[in-house]
Amino acid sequence: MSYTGAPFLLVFLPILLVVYWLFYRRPVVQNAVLLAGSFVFYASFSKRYVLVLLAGILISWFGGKLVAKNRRVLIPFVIANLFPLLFFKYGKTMLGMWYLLMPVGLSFYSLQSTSYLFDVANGKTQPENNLIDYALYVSFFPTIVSGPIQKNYQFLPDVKARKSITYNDAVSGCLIFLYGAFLKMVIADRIALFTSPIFEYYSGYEGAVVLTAAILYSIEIYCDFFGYTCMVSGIARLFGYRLRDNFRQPYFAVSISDFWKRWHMSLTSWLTEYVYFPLGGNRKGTLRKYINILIIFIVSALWHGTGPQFAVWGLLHGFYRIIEELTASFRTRLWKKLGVDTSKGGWTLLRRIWIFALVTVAWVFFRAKDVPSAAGFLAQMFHSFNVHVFFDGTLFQLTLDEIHFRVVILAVIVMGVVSHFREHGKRAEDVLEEALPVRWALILILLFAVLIAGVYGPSYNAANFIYANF
Amino acid sequence: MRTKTGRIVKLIGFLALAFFLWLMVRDTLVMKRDDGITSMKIYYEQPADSVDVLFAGSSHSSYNIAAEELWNGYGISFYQLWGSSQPMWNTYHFLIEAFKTQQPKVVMLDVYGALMEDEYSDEARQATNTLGLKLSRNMLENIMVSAPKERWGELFLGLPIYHDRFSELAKDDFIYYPWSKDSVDEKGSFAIYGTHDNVKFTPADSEERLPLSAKQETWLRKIIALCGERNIPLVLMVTPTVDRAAEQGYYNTISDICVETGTPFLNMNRVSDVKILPSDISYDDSHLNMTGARKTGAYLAEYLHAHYELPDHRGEEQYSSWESYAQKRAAGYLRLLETPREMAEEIRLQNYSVLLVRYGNTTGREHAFNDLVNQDLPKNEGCWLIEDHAVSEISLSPEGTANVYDTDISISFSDRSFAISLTVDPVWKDEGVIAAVYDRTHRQWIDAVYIPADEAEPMEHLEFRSRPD
Repeated sequence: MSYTGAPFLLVFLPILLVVYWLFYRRPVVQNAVLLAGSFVFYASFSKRYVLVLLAGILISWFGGKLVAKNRRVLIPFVIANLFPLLFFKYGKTMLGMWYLLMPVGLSFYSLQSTSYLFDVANGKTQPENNLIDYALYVSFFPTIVSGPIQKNYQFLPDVKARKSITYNDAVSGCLIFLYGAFLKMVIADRIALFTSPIFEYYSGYEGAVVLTAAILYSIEIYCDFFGYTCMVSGIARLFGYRLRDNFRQPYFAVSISDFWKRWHMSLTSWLTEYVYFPLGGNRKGTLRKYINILIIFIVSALWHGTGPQFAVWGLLHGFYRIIEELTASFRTRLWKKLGVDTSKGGWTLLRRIWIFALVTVAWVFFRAKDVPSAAGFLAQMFHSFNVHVFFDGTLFQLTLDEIHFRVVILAVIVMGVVSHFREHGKRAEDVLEEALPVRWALILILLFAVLIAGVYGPSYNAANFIYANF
Repeated sequence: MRTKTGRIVKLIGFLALAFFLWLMVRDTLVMKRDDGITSMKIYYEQPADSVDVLFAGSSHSSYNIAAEELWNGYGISFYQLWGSSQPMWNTYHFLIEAFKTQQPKVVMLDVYGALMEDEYSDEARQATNTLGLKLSRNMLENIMVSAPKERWGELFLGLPIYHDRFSELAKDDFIYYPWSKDSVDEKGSFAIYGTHDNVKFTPADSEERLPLSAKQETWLRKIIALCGERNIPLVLMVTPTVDRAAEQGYYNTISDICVETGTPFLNMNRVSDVKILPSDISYDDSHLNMTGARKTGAYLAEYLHAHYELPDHRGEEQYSSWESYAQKRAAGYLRLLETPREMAEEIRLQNYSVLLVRYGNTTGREHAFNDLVNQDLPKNEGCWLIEDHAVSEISLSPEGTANVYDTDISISFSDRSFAISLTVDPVWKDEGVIAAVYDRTHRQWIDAVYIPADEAEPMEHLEFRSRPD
């Protein structure tokens, strides 16, 4: 079941919501219902891999109990817990088992259960006695496919709490879901129609077209992943859960470190807490700090994929970060000497463009099928760079015609406006404060934008989320 | 409590508005395809209880029958409700829908669609045979029998199939809404013209029985039962086709079902009165052009008049749309013709008048119009009116104007070219002949053609402001 498909939206979700809220006075039953729903949802992808999920839940749950009594069993349980992830993720390439299909969400729920074991071992959290509550923490259906990665000490109390839902919660949940669908279906999936063939056969395209594809891919991956995050946040809200932010306008970042505070925040936070800090963080000298930075980016890269292109992507970001830190004081002195007023909006805009450019170059490696392809793609940008493609209609003769490009531009402008408001602290709930006609108009425009301009239906196979592959 | 009630009211209001907009979006974006969707949409616009003869079935029940002959001959009101290669299960649900607003006096069911053996039509026809129906239980049941389970959702919602048409919307996409009556003058049929090369009819004399698929037979019997329950006389029919030998085995089986159920069966492949010629066959083996369709239309008009009590509605206000339709079809037919000879034949049949303007060299092709009058047409330059087998010269004023049938015309001749205006926009042409056709019954200029002096150039239909669209 896809979060954007009719079976999910018209059958599964309404039924589960009704049954779930029928028991609003009995949280224990609610959790059981939600857990059952989560397993049904997971089984819709593959019934076989339900066993992998179940095994992961049981190993980490029992592991937690034993680790609390004896810390020495932590490592064996961590290895046992991560074994399916390592097997499915690296078995393909390292053992040549190409037929292996990665269970959906394994990368995400493995991190959640592993962090639980560490937290129990470190006394940060108590071992969970209720298997249903713990299983729900691992398998919560809105987040199991691609996160956000939940921390046990934040999520388990939410699981145990008595749920309530207000009118505003329900409406804002729907609104957040709709906005996510808008990002995913109107922008990301439409851009994918343009970028996919160009990444595949870049040598056949003009440099300007390839550059356009690179820029659009940066927007695509953001809209795909943030769109997904909004959708699952909206769904979670309908069940009385409030997920923590996973994105905070990453392309508004003015530095690489700022970017990583805004992009996939739950993963960054997980890596910082369970990799960077245990390695010593920045407490063991500058050189060690830089090495630690490189390590977390390499771990992040390996988590995303096994190909060398992911390693290059991670290393690029690691080097960006290190160079940024190394040159920070020099740059400050330079701008001062040149009389640049770095507090001005124009300067902030320039920095944002610069960071966007750096991130875009790195995304090319992330998207390409291997390192030579990524290098060839980047080189192609400077080959026969004919700007005329933007003016003579060449661009519109590829996979997206002019009207679809207009839709993309308009939708990205809408996203920019929303991002601006979000950056200034506005949230979906604020829309509910608007006058009724404005409120209804906003919701209906969003709804029909998705229904009309969304990329879906039998002609398309765009239901997959990019991060569901990790 | 007040807040809670207020919120419920607002929620209901919001959902109603969203539902209304969804219906509007559906009606706007749905493909306006003649082969199933449009014929259903236009059907909804027909005045209640106005259709006396309902044609149903595949494209044969539309393209192969010029049903305006029923109106022209006997004032019988009709509608052609059909879908491309429509199987019997879709026809059944179309009829259920049709009977919601009409109580026809006869249903003429084309059974060509019953020959299809597959469990389902192809995906495109699953869509065209379902998307025209209004949201209802009947629509749901139609979808469930028309397509495998995995397609039900998209056929029901519609938008997954056609939402991306937003980039190709045109004027015709904004005319089919629940309140629309703009298309009431249409009656579900569409004309085609053209002639198939090397047509060879195979004989329809086989007596073998080929079985229908179980699903087709089940739904055919349901149609017979449905009409029986509603006391609506049903006639099963086969319109003329080319490869009759291949189909006859199935029609024999259908004939047996008709005998068993007491249903009349009209197989026009075996009716010698319908003299379909190779030139009456259109660009494919399955469809008749307008000439052939008129023959079947005229035959069916006689048949229906002879066998059923069908009132003559000509002159009745509620039925004026059939009159308009018949006019449009006649004018439309003229505009499909490609040679002066075909034009002259149609003008003679319909007793139209012709304004003929000749300038410079002509090829003689226009001599086909000689057949319209008792004497040869003058061969010099000038302007003539042919009316009731007589020809008279039109005297132009010094400014080159005249009044013909209460219409101001102006004609000017200059070096090797001439201009004619029936209203305001003159049409300039090189040497040759312009023939404008006037329908005196309905007092309208209905077509005009330019016959070029260069014999290699084809006859060309002209656009006049006064001609109805």
